[in-house]
Amino acid sequence: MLVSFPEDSILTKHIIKLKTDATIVEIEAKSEWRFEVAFEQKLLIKVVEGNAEIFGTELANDIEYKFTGAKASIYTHEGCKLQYQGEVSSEYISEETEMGHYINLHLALENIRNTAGSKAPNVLILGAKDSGKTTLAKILSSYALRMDRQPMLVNLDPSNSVFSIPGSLTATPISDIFDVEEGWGNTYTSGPTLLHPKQPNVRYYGYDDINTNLKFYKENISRLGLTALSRLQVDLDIKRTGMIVDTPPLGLKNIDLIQDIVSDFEISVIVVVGNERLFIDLRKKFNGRLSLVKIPKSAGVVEIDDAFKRKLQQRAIREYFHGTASTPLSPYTANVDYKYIKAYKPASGNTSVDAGFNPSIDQLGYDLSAVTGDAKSKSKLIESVENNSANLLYAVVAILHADKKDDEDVVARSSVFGFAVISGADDDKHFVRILLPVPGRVPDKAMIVGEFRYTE
Amino acid sequence: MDEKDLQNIGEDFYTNMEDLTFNSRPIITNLTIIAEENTQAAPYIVKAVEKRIDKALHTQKLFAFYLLDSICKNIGSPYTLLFGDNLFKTFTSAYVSLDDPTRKKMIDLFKTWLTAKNSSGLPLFPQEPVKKIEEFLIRVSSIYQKRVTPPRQSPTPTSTPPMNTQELINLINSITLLSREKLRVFPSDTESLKKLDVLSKVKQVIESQGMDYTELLKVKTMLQDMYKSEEEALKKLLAVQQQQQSPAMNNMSVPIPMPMEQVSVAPEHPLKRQFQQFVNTGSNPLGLAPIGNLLVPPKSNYEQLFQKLIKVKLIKYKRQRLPTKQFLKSLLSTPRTTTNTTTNTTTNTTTSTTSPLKNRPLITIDLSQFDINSSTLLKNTTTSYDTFHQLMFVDKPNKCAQCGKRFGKTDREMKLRADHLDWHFRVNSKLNQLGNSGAGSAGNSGLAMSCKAWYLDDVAFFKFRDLEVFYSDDGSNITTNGDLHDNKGTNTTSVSNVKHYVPVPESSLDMQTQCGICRETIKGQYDDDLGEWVYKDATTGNSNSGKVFHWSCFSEANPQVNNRSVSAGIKRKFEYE
Repeated sequence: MLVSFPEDSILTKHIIKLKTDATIVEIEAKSEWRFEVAFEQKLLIKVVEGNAEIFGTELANDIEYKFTGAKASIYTHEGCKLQYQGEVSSEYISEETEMGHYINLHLALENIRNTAGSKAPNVLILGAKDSGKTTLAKILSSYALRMDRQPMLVNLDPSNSVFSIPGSLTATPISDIFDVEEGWGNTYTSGPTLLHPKQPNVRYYGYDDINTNLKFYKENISRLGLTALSRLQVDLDIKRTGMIVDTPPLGLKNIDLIQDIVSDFEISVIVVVGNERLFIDLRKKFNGRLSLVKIPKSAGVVEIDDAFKRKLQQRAIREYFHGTASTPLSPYTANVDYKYIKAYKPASGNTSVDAGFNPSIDQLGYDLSAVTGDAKSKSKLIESVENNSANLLYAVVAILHADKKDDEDVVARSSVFGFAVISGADDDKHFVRILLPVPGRVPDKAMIVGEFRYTE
Repeated sequence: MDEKDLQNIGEDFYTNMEDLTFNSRPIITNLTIIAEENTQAAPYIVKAVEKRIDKALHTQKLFAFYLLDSICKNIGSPYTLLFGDNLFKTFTSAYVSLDDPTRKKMIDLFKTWLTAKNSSGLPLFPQEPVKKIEEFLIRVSSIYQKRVTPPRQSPTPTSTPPMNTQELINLINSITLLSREKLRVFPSDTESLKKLDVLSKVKQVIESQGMDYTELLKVKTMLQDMYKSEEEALKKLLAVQQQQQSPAMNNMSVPIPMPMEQVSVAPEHPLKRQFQQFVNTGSNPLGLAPIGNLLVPPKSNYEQLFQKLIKVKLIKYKRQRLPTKQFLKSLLSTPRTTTNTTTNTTTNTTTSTTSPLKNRPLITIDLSQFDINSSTLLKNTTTSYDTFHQLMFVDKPNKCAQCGKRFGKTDREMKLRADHLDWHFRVNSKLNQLGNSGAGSAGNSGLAMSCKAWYLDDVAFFKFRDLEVFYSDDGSNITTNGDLHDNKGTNTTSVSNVKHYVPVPESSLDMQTQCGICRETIKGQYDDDLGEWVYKDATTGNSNSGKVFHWSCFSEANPQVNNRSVSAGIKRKFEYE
């Protein structure tokens, strides 16, 4: 079970005065400045001269950008001068970037988009953990955007929080620039924001690891693919640009899943980052049916350790409810009787009710269903959760579009309406205290409980 | 799908285009989509569009061009290439048949082609036809540019309401009078007889309303010239007549013999002299310079003038260039312009048309070398850096100072940029507003400052178009709170629906409190929707003091929240409950 990290929210909500002097960094053309800022640190960066970009998104000049809990790099195409103020865990300039390859890849994709009669490329990015997949996805989306295109960015890695909270899978048309401070940026679920918000389609899988419940994960992927493709068919801006699909770390053993993704999202280009073996294997598998390219792993990628990742996830949840320092939101708390709550959890395939919260058992459960075929488990994707404090307390729940009276089938297929946190559960008095993003009564809808927990 | 089917698509496309009799965005968008969906029939669709441009009434040709433009800019290849083949012919042959306002629109359209790039940064059309059109326009630019400029520079001639034919007829009548007078003095003047004949014919044509505005303008200038020359001629004749009687009285410095036989060419001379004067002094007190010019080609051959008028009307394509030029010169110089400014505007305008071309990068961007295969991707070539630099920076020189987003140089992009800056402004002021009244209390339960919304369902997501929201209005309206689940799909709700209430604190014993402003009692009520006890239409303001106010009292006392407030009637209504 994931335990919540009590966040010291003061750190991110209020400006801490640091008496450090401003430091100037000069970056030569085609180099990047890599930096790490811990969660308790705060870094202010300003581009003083030249043009600089973070993961493809260009920075405005003479505007201060704030970073907290970030590992990022600033690339410059023609050289630039930065000024930074605050504490950094590490910082250095490197000339060894993969940007040249990324640019080549971008131009090649652009070439396909321009070629008469050919479909815009739907790109799948594969690679090992910490190989720079998400960075590449972000850069490719940014570059497409900068050429006045509108890519659809799909995140299939549930441990990432892309325009949503962790545990979810999203498809987001990228219609305006990313927020470099927040990582991705705001959605329409926030209030007025400094940059144009995005409107994602969200599915809730509920676990950090795809193997925890691979079947439910696959179901969500194919549903997401269906929605994304149908939007792509009718939205010409997106249709002309195509999709960019980011994935969790997948390897040879996930070849079936890769094939599923390829067909669910009508993938036409696969980019393998730093995994020669997977590249060769996929080449045999797909043998000319789609474009397959490899790109070396970036020297700049840093290992994101689990603790850092959990903090990122907790921050994403907090920001969903409370907004960011620049655009704070106040969520709403309501008390409702147990009878108003109808929660499900992904069916574990194992009969034990509690198994869903134990990744090791789930791993076994998946193996079983894979071996025994789908005969038994096909019937159920999700199962009902009993309302009690053991199951619900501090749980992050996804409120679905499906009505709570709907069939399980309908519920399992439904996309996410919003998220809530059960912040209190009283088994004696039979009521829960629920944290909602939007004021009003608790929506009359079905909910999905995953493994994520959150406390204020 | 075989050739026949493709041909049918083209024919259907042509039929659909016949609806394009007015400037209709829906029709153009629709046809563009059809074109996009049928790229395999591109050659036939292109033929259809070209045919439409050729066959359409000259008042409707422009809209067909807008369609061509829309197809090329939205779809690009292969349409750009196919249209490129005949672009020069299509453009120029249509251009010459259009009237002046429409020509201006055509020029505006063409200017966008100079700067427009397809998505990869390549010029929209192949270089060659664009260059030829450019040359063509430069050749006729002294016409079209100046034709464009005078409305701004000299309001006198064109700012007058569209010319009525009566004005012309009056003019003709005066000329007729003059000629009659001349005829009376010199009954042997056969030219004047002819002229009278021609004038009556012209009058008929004008009265038949068969001419359009520009043609009328031309006729007007000619008639004015004729009137002036006629007047001069008459004066001269009278002077000569007087001279014959008493030569000393003749003040005319240039000795011009005025035999009666030559009466027809007589008008030329005094004007010419005046023109000389004007050139010499550089001033133009009478604004007659162009008339001097004008008189050179047509002389006083009225038959020819009439022929020309007929031609302008009937086979105007061929003849138009000549009269327009003169007409324009006259227009330009009429009130105040000197030759200097005339040449200035000429050079200015020509450079402005050519400059986009000159500023254009010399390297043409060809992305075809960037193949999607591992070996090309792994090459670290300078070409890719250069191409990238060209696309990302050179082609988009206008960087937003606030967020770093870049915009290109085309009119369309400048418009987008303006919208973008407006958007920043609106959002910033909105956030400031919220920051003043709400951020301070964010986190405590009082003021419902959160403006959250739910995610869209699949159907709404399918229908959602990001860019439409951006450029429709605020774009942030959409997020201002609301029970989305109650009105699914329509995700805009107005701020005034926000409920103002304060939950009754658990410490409260009597479930009532006093408004901190008007001292009236506020009673707690159970709200079914919220599922808890609340003080309705109340707020804690932005203080942490625990005081509760009527929302209406509070918003009256704090003007900055007023614009987001609800109607003042709420307090009353509450009291009656």
